[in-house]
Amino acid sequence: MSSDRSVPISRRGLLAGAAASGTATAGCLGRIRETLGGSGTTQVSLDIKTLPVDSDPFAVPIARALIDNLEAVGIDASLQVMDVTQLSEQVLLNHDFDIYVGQFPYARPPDPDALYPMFRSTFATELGWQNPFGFANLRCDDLLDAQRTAAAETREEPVAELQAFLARTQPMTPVVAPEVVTGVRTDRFTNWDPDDREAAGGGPVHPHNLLQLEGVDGAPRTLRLATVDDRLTTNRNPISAVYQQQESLLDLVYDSLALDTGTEYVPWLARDVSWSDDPPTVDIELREGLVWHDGRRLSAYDVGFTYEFLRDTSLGGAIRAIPTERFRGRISLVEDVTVESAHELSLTLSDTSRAVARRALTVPILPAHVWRDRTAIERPPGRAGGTTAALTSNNSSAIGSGPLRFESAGGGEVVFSRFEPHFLWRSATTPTDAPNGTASRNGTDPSTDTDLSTNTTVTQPTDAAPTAPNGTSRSTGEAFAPPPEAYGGLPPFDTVVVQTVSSDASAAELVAAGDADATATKLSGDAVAQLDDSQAVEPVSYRSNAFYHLGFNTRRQPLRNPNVRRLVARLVDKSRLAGEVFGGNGQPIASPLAATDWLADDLVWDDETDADPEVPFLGTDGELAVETARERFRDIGYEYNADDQLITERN
Amino acid sequence: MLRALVFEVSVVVAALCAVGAVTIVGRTRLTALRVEIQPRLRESAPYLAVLIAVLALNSAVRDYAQEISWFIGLNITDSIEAIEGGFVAAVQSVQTELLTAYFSYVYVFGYVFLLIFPLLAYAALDDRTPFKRLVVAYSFNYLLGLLLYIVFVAYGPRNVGVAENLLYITNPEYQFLTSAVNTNTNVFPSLHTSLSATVAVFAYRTREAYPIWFGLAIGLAASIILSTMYLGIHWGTDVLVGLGLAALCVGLSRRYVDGEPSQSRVSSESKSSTGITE
Repeated sequence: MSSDRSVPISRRGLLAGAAASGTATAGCLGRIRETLGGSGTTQVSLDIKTLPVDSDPFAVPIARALIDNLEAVGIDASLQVMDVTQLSEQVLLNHDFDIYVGQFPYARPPDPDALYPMFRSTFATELGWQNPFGFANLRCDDLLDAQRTAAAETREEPVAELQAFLARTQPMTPVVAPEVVTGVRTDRFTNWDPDDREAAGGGPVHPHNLLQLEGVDGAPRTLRLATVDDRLTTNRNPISAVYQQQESLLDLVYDSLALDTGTEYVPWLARDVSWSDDPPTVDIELREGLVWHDGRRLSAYDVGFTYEFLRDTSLGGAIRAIPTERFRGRISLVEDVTVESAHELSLTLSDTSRAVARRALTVPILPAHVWRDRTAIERPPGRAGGTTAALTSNNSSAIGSGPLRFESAGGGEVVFSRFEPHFLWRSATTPTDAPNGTASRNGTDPSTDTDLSTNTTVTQPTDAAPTAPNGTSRSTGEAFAPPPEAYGGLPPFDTVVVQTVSSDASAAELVAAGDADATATKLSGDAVAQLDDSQAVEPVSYRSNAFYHLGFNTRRQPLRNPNVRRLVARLVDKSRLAGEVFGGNGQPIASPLAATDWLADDLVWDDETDADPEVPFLGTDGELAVETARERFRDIGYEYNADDQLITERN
Repeated sequence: MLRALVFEVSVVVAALCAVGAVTIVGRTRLTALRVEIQPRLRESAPYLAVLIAVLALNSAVRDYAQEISWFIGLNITDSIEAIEGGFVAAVQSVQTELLTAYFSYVYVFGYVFLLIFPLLAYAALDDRTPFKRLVVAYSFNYLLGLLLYIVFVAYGPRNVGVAENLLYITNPEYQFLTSAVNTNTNVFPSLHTSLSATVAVFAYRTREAYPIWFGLAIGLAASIILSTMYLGIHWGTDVLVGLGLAALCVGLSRRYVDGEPSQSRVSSESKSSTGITE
């Protein structure tokens, strides 16, 4: 470049020149100044990372709308599209991003405590779905702690304050809670969308909802699902943030002590759970005769191991604990584990209300005999810190204890079989076809039936009453509801096949053509239209808790500055996106708890003004008021150069 | 679904080839071919072996290459967009149902026919050169394409919201076919373009032997190249680089396979010309 060899001109001189000259030459001078390098100013630039349209038909349009408006206010914005593993790795493990567009990892309407690992400063250095924003604010920490410890009747206050604080500081911007459509076939399986299923119960392909399907007589007993997410074909590690997402079928491979159905917590591996205070403790009695998919017996030792292991997957081998990349908030509730016998253990919990503490019971229980050999510390290339074999393992054999057992993967398909000895079906299986292996393995066959019948009456809410904080309407399940009756009967399938396809339209096509029973992937409007072709096909829609949001990397300038984040949030017309991108099937939101009863009054979306109550769009009808927006950036101390570029000090 | 589609494509392309054999290659050459097919194939065997090896390598390392690609590769999607902006969107602005249907069929069926038929047609020529060179050119296309796919990661315009996904929305079943052959990050360069252009250049060179094919191949290749952009699959940049790749591969094929004037002496009984117009 000739400018490289040009006579050095002082920056001041250039600025004076730029100021004195007309607009026609100012642009040119501005560029020269850019190329001179060294100290001075540079245009603010932001990369927006997200998934390609094939993987997520909604994320790119949101990102594009943001980019257009960022550019309008003079920011150099560019779209970086990458596959889901790559995106998760860059955002969740390497924290290498400015802004990402994605979905919050909520499969269920979140308890406010689900915000704890997302925003508490102590998680900012951890990997996975723990504070990927790097948000560190002591006020926020206090509020997160307060909602944990508050008694049920006073919890609303810190929760509302927390939401107000998050709305004000915008470590991430909630955009739209989408209404998701699943295409299902009704000629082989029915009861996809039972009338009595509440909204919180999730959609037809929510893993545990599949257990409630009913079969059509004479139909084949293979359930086929189509998804664009191919990660299960290569990696079945339930604690990896990169390879696991919410509502993966792996949720049916690994059981937890209790199951959150969305409306209540039901005992799952636990047969009985009793709570006591001082210190807060939960005593757990496991069901009888639990077995792993490899035939080994599942004992309280495995459960105790899991809680220790998820807290530090090096089991003390590393100087600093290397915790799980998922479920971290829930694990942080458990302070100590005591295994009392083969089927009894107790968890000592941190100082929390019971409504929060029970969340600790929903982590997947891992077989100690498989995972205890995965504590070796590893430093995979391209990754920031140390990790362990547990987190890098692809866990290909996926030995769990859940209703589905992993069989095989290959050719774009993952195959699961119904795990015959699972506790759900022992009563449904007649003694003659009960698997011999199970009975002899645990030697408790005569008591099995009685156990299950006792189960239907255990854990009356009164068990917990004496020392429990007073219940409120919000904490419905301080003690457990009766055992999982709803999941009891034998499901109408023996095999579940998940087929990977390359886009939502293909998934819809497979269902329409009769080659799949349901889509397990988000469908765009165009893909939903594919479903019309066939008679036995129907679209089922439900509100997803995994709301779309902009995640900001608050470790970096300029997004370290909350004023900038607020202005970036104000460049997004949420209501417009809900209408155009989601075809009206989405709700614009202003709080991560928007879909719950906990939503703060001040953050309810105002349907009249159709504007965000905290960070309203800087414009009207999707049209950005560019000058106003630029003025706002000037108000917070930013400058524009002669090219109308938003500038910042060069690093 | 995939099997049904492969069957459908095979049947259609076989039918087209049969028609082409009769009308374009002609009876005389076909009759001669029946006798000569064995020695000709034997002579071309090393070249065919290379092509088969390249194709096998391609499918064997595709998944693995994808991972290396993310690891070492340059994600150039945004750079491509910065260069050409809304060019593909402009191409799509002339959208009609008829055009979409035409380009979809051309992209899938026309393309396979365009690649297969000249192998048959050139096998029927006395001069072995075009056949050998075409096979070599194909090999280079796939080999260099694979290398470029490893070095560059890029999504097509349909995947970043620049263009509509016309192929898969109107014919979603085709995606089972294309995704079985390639992944959606392999758009730079466009192999549809480079291979089509390669065939077109060969058709030009053999226009004396196959004048009808010359016209047909040019039209088909142009349609396929346009279709990659019209359908929102490729960027204009992919197409340009694809054309460059075609030129390179044709050049390389000429370098590695000598023209064989001596061949015409060997097969002197045959009265047809070499078919090559240098």
